[in-house]
Amino acid sequence: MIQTQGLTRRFDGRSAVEDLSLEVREGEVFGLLGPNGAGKTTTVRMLTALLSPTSGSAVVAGFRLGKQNMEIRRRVGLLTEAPGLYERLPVQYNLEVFARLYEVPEKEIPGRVEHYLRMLDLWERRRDPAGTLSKGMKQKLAIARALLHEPRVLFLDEPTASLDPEASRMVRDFITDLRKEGRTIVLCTHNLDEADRLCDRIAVLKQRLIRVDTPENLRRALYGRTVCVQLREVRPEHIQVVRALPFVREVMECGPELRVRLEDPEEMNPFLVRALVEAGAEVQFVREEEHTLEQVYLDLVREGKEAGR
Amino acid sequence: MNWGKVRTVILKEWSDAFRNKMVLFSVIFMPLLFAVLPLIMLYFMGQPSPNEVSGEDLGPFLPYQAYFGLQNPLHVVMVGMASIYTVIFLMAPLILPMMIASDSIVSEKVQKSLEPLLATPIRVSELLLGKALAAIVPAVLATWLAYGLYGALAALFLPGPVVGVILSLDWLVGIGLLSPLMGLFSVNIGILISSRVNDTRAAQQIGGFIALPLMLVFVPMFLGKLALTAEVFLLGALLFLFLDAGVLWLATAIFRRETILTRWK
Repeated sequence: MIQTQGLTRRFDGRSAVEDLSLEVREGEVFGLLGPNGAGKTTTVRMLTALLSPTSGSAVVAGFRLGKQNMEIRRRVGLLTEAPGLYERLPVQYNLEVFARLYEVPEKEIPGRVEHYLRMLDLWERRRDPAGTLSKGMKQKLAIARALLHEPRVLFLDEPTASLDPEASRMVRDFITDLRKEGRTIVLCTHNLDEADRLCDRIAVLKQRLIRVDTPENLRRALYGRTVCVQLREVRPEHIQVVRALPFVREVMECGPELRVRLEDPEEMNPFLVRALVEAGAEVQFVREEEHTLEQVYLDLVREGKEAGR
Repeated sequence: MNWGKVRTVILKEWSDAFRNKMVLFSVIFMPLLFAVLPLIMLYFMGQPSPNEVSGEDLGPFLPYQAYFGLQNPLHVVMVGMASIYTVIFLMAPLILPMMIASDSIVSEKVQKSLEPLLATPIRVSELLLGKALAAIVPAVLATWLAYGLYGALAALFLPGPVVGVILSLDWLVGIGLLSPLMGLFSVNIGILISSRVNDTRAAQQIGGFIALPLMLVFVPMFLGKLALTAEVFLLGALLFLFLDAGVLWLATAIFRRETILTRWK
């Protein structure tokens, strides 16, 4: 659905996005992660034909960036970081204006506006000025505005930033529903838990693309898999026995636990437990250690920073 | 050019701007002030006896005596003053659209609504034309209505020769044709300037400096050196028609989505 090749954007000689090449597949939720100033918003602005790249190329929804910008705008929806609503105008009129600008046929506008307002529980507030809505409602209205023309690709830039937990959840649930409809969604977020839960694949950016993969693969690529075995008492011979096993990469003692890095826990755990029991260990619990996406992200960004030096 | 989108922008601008009571008040109240204040002054000017103004006192108003063939010196002064006051209606579309245009840009800035707007398939020329027309049309209509009121009240309370000047073909051509074109010029210049500066207030101030030389055109008239006839107004209208087309073309050529996105924030 989106392919970029060496996409670069500089502002007054300063690089905002450098040599970005990636692919977003149809129907996936694709996360763009990166620290402030990493170029996420600039990337979204280029892919929605708002900013032109300094160099490189991109194809969005089958149309070439730069040559077919108007076609791209017709086929993408954008939720900007701030909802950017006309606050003095009624909720319904906000959507009608954008429906006309997005070239929705005039006779379809009332039905489509009503559909989205009802879907997002805003129908009762349709005559109220948009400025009187709560933050969560404004964000939902802005998402509805981005969906009015049934875009093939939806760009969501920090959709839950500055929302309270309840409103954030409301917006996340809506994104989950959109994902079920099979829409292609590009999600820029700082919320790593949100990215972990919603995204099929994640690109970590810091001007350049640091890595792109599924959240699970990112964890594995960085840390492998770690099994934590809790013993009644950890003795040196237990560590020696585990270290001697051919499939074990690394063993660390952590209080009453042995943290064991290995390739395939499902296959190897029975051998590991048997070896420990035969060495006289009393096994209390066995669990796999979960690496949070936050750990993965911070390490990747640090790695990118060091590579950039 | 998609006129449906231009219309959508205009209607949106009006719905938004006229919910701001300051804008509504300015667009209605200022032209009313333009209509009533000169009349009050002209009315009281007509109160003294004709003996109080002699032919020797006419000074810069002498050309009006010859041009309109007037005998009564008081009427000559009143006609001269009425001509000067009527210039206000020529100038009003230079000032009034700024109220709507600046509200439009400031509110886009405050509401951060430009990015979603520019993400739609609207051409920059459609957006700029929509904003320019949204600013100029109410200003011109308000000016015309105020001028109509000024003419009607003048017919009721002022002497015939003065009414004849206020409602002359010369001024009908000037206010009907030249003033909207001058207003459009000022709005387009404002848009052009806002592409070069980051600050809306700076744009308004520079716009004011641009409007100033336009007002200087009327100095020879105040000094009695230039009679503003229908021919002069027609010539001016033709000149501003070309200037408007040129400035709109230039604004559209200079403006890019990213210029608006990065400058109007």
